[in-house]
Amino acid sequence: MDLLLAAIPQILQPHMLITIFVGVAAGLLIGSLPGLTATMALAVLLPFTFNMDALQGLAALGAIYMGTIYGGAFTAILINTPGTPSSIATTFDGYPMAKQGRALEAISAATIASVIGGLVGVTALLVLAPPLARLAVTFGPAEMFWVAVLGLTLIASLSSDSLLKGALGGCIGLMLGTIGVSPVGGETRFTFGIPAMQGGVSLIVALIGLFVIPEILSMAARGRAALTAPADMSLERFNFLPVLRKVISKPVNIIRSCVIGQIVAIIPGAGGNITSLVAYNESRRASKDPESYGKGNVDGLVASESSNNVMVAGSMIPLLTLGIPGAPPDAVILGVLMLHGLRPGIELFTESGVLTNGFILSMGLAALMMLPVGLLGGRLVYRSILKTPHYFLIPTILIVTILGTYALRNNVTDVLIMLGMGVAGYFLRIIGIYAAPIVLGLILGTIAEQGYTQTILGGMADAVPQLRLLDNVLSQILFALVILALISTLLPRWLGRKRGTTGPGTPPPGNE
Amino acid sequence: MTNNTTTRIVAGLAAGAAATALGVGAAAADFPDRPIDYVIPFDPGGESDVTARMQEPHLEEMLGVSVNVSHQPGGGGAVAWSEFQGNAEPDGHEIIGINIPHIVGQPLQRDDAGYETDGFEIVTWFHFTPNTLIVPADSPYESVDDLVEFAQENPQALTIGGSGTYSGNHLEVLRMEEVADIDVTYIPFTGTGPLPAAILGGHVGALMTNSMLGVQMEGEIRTLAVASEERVPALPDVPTFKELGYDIVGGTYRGIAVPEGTPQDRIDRLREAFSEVNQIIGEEQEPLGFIMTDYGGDEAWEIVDQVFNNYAPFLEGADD
Amino acid sequence: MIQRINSDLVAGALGVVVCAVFWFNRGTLSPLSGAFPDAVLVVMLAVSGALLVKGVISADICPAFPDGNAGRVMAMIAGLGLWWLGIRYVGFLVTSTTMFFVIALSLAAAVETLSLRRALFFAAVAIVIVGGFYLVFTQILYIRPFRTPLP
Repeated sequence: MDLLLAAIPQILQPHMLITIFVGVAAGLLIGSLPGLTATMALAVLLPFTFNMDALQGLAALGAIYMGTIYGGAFTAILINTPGTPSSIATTFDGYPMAKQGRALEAISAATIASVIGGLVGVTALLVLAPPLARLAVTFGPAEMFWVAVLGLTLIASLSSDSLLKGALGGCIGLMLGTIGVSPVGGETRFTFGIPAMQGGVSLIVALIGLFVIPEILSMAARGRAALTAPADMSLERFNFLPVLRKVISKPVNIIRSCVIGQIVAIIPGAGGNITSLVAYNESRRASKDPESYGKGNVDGLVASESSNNVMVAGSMIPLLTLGIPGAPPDAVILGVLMLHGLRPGIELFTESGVLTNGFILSMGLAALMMLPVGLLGGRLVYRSILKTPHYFLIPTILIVTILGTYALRNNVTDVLIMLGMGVAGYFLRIIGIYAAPIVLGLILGTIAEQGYTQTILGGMADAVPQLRLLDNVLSQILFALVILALISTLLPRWLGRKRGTTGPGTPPPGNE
Repeated sequence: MTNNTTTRIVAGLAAGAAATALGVGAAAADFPDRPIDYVIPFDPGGESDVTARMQEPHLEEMLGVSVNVSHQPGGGGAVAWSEFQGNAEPDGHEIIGINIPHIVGQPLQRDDAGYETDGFEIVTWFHFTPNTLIVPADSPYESVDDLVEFAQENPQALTIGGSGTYSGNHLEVLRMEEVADIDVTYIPFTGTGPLPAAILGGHVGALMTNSMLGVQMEGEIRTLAVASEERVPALPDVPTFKELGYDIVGGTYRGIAVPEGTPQDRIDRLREAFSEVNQIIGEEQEPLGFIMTDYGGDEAWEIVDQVFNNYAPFLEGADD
Repeated sequence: MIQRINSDLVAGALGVVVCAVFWFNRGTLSPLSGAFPDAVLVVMLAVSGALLVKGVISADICPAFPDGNAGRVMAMIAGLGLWWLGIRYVGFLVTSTTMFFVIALSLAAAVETLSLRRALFFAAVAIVIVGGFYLVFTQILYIRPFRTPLP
């Protein structure tokens, strides 16, 4: 507590406040460009922190991280493109809202949700770090396998019009995920003889392709932008307070999403992409009106955005206490700690406690600063997208996505994969196979495969190595959750079919 | 941002002036004449990245131009290496991080690696992280002998985690199996990141990993042995495998390469810069568990041959 | 031109084709690396089979081109292909500026009549936007451009 109090004056100095502000703004800008992920933002902006002291440098990076994850929501809402993988679920309701002329409402709701999520994560990091860190290491290969399978059950609820087509999409994603070096075994698979394919299909490359390019093709075919100014211009002049009231009038939704965000955040290897999808799905399942999800329900947006911003500070729990990166961008933060000669562990909270607490507090400040920066920036981006005629908007989006895809790994083959997947995605969408299950398969395939093979390897000396999958309590609980999730999504569907209430043609969530 | 750029330019001019004043030589004077591209073939945050970040400011000072670190991850480094050998300009301004055993193992083991081990000009191997054998602090194994004894009695039951398949960690486990005549199960993880969780959570019995983790996790784990010729400065109490009677020496060398055909005087200039940088960052790196090295020219290739001879049997057998 | 398609049959056939593509490029893999893709391929084949059956029994018929203008979609796809070839073999700046200009112009031509002045304005916009992003990426974010004959 003394350390916490000692850290406060250090953070509230003007140069620190400016650093955090600039960090959030820069992160927001980068996050809103598809292809530029939080990991990349941190890596690219790292050199600028070299001539800062440890606290200022870490505060800058924390602010960038926070801003990037939040910035991904902008493009998710405005052009149906998750700026970072963490905002996949934000597109599901955000984009329909924008199409209905409620873009500013969506941006405000996303901002409020992000601020709340960010603050919750910071609080958890301050208060609950040691006990949660212990939970993090209990997730071994078997548990990770079940987490991935649990994630895959989302396909069932994300594809409400045809389960078979959803499953096919999921399988395509899983297969795409196997391209490259196999996680256990080390062989290269399905590279089709191309050296650049050893790197596999990056999630972000697939994400950009599957979300942006079909939208671009559709805009080109229709000869107009997807977002047009609302017919009733009074809608554009909206008040911030009603949105705030609307968001916090559903505290259960926010609390649930934040708890999910925090739990997923500490599982090593599961990042914001999974967090937001799980939170979205749970919000939908708990809702009295699940049919309205995917058609512009603000609750879905809030669930996604609050949970992914919890992750920013939340995933630093295993990082700061044990040196385990909870999410990919944390690896960069770990590198920075090492650059400054800091060693993750309990000493970080005792010996260098002022610094650590200062860093955590600075992330809290960064979360708060998203409010003004985001509301202002969001309005600006919205206006410029609305005012730009479609014949300039389409090539501009293309140039940004091409540059962003290339920049991801400095790999020109990635650009080809992105464009190819986009074109394929456009035609798949026509026949009812949507981007969400494909992306889900791609995210979870590697985790599932690695968890499974590692578990089996661990049981090599046993008679039946597969039994190791259900060896301990946590994996049994996760297995039960998988069964529960399947029953709760499939049963109503079958019952509904018998009664004939859900006919074909029900639009699936998030896919217009 | 502008401020930083200005600083860089000023620092660059100053360093350039100093270099000319000292009369480094005619050949070196016109090299480098544009920013150096320093490619890291891995994700940001790893050891290669952290090291490059430490080197960056000092290199800029020595060479008098800015040094741009960029990442091109994929395929355990192979994507960047194959593109580099295919496309990089052999004028000394494009340099890439290389690792042993990766650049030896991948072309042997894969049909489509896309590059050749001897398609590089190695500037220098600048540091070495020996493999270390780590067990949890509460493990029953107090020494390597304890662990070997258990493994001899219970084939395949002991699990040893490490980063990647046919990586330095994996090859060292294979070598240990041969030297100590044991049969253990190696479990590969993706990179070094998940390893602390694997050992603290009891998901593996031991880790074969680089010496940095041994230093970083001191207190929570016990380091049984290091696979270096001499003890690691940061772990003075940990014996080497050799001291314990196991002929196991190996680990990861990190270094710098330029494309084939790069003029020798430029390679020399780069090597000179890296050795000077090494002396500065050594003070920061040695406490982290690195062993600083400076092997260029023929010495660099000797290292490659040594690794090749040690591990080629395992790697060639890996095809089937 | 085909107006409506049996989406179940198409999806099922596509699944079979994707399975085949992966299967015939599998090569030799050790059980550690092969087990998972094999399992997925089996599931995928089963799902595709089920879709084919459903396509025969109770098909889901959908419009082939819900966005209307099929020609424009095809033209755009061809444009994307050219764009990539240009970036790979010619040069990023040259190709992107040209492609930006061509795409913007052809999209605008559908909604207005274009004068030479207007075309010049389009060219200026293309140069400013492409050049601007190029500078941001290479100078501020230090992205190394792909090596090609032209910039």
